[in-house]
Amino acid sequence: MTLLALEAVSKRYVRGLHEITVLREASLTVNAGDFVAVYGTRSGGKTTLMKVAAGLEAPDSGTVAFEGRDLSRLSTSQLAELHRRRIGWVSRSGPASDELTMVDYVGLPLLGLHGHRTVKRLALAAMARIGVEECSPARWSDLADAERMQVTLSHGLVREPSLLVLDDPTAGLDLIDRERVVALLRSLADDDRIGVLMAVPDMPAMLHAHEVFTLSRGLLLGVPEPPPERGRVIDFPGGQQTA
Amino acid sequence: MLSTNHVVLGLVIDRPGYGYELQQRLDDRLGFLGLSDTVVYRVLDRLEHDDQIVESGPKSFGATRRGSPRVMYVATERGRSEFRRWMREPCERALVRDELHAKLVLAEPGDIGHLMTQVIAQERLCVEELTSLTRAPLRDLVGVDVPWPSVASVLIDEARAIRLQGTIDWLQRVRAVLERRASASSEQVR
Repeated sequence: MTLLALEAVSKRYVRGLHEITVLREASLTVNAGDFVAVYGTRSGGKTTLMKVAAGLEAPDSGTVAFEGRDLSRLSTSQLAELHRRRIGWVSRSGPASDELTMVDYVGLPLLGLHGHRTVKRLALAAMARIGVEECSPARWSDLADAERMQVTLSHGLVREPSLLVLDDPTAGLDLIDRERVVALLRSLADDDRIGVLMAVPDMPAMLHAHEVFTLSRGLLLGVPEPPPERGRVIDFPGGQQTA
Repeated sequence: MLSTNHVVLGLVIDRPGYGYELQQRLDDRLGFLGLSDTVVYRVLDRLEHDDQIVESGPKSFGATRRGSPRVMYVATERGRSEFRRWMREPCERALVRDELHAKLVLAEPGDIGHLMTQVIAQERLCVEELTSLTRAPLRDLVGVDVPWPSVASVLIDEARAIRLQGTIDWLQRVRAVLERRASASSEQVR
């Protein structure tokens, strides 16, 4: 099932006297169970692409559809509901306040949906799924880079989203921690059928993805679809014929 | 320069074998080196001539179509010590030898459009190559129970992906320069 479809999406920014094209007719789709990775260097438009894909920014032209619904036609409250329940946005920013314990931070998206106890139980379960339950009483400033990433991932996952969008989830991780985190993302796609879209500035981090793209100067490049096979044998009623 | 002698010698040390089987193993484990199919036979002759490997036991007749005899090779002590020496020797930096580099050097002003197309096509090829490297993850690289060959293959793919990244970064920079030059020259025409 197609979860996310970006169709000919363009986005420009004006900086002083300059107009910068960040995305030039970029198209990609993410299905349930897909792990899609985009490579780009710094300030190459990755964060913009991820924000547009997650519905956090609107494109100048082109469409972004989530489960067949054009995001530009949704009301603010419908979009907010999508972000609360269906689309997990994972960046490296962490909680706005360092007062929060990590279990409270992870449970934030569920507040108002369940009672406090249930929120805590679900938050702990999400942290256990990622393997960072021991960080639950800690504060953001106490955590190492790998733990921060895993806590933020738990925060994205706690709402049981159908799509996870991650901006640079492997920053600051060494090879061993990176493999662990990316293997986890792969298993969310393979085992939980979540659509996972991530952008990274490091190509080896893409080795576990199902599909890979590069992005630079607005151009999103992937492997072209193989042309339809010619003369393939298809079933006709009453015997096999070649098309 | 990559020593094919030592690569084949390493395969024989890992497990004695005969020509065709060694060729298969070379392809399975070191296919990324892009060595030709016939290299194994030439190298086996050289290694035997240098007393680094010897034929082992009587020739057996395999199930090959021509029924030709199969010669099993094992490494000699001399071969093993040569392999150990090679293993400790520093590696040479791979040479840059690329058709696109030659084209960039030799391009004329009217070629910018063609170069741009080629640069984008090359980037796509790199993405395709990266796609061919994508694999199911190995969660744990440091656990003692994880077999070393699996960890080693992760490390090799890491090297290949980093190299591809270098190439892609370079292609993207070349494209940036070509785009800027193309737009500068079109403004000049206007």
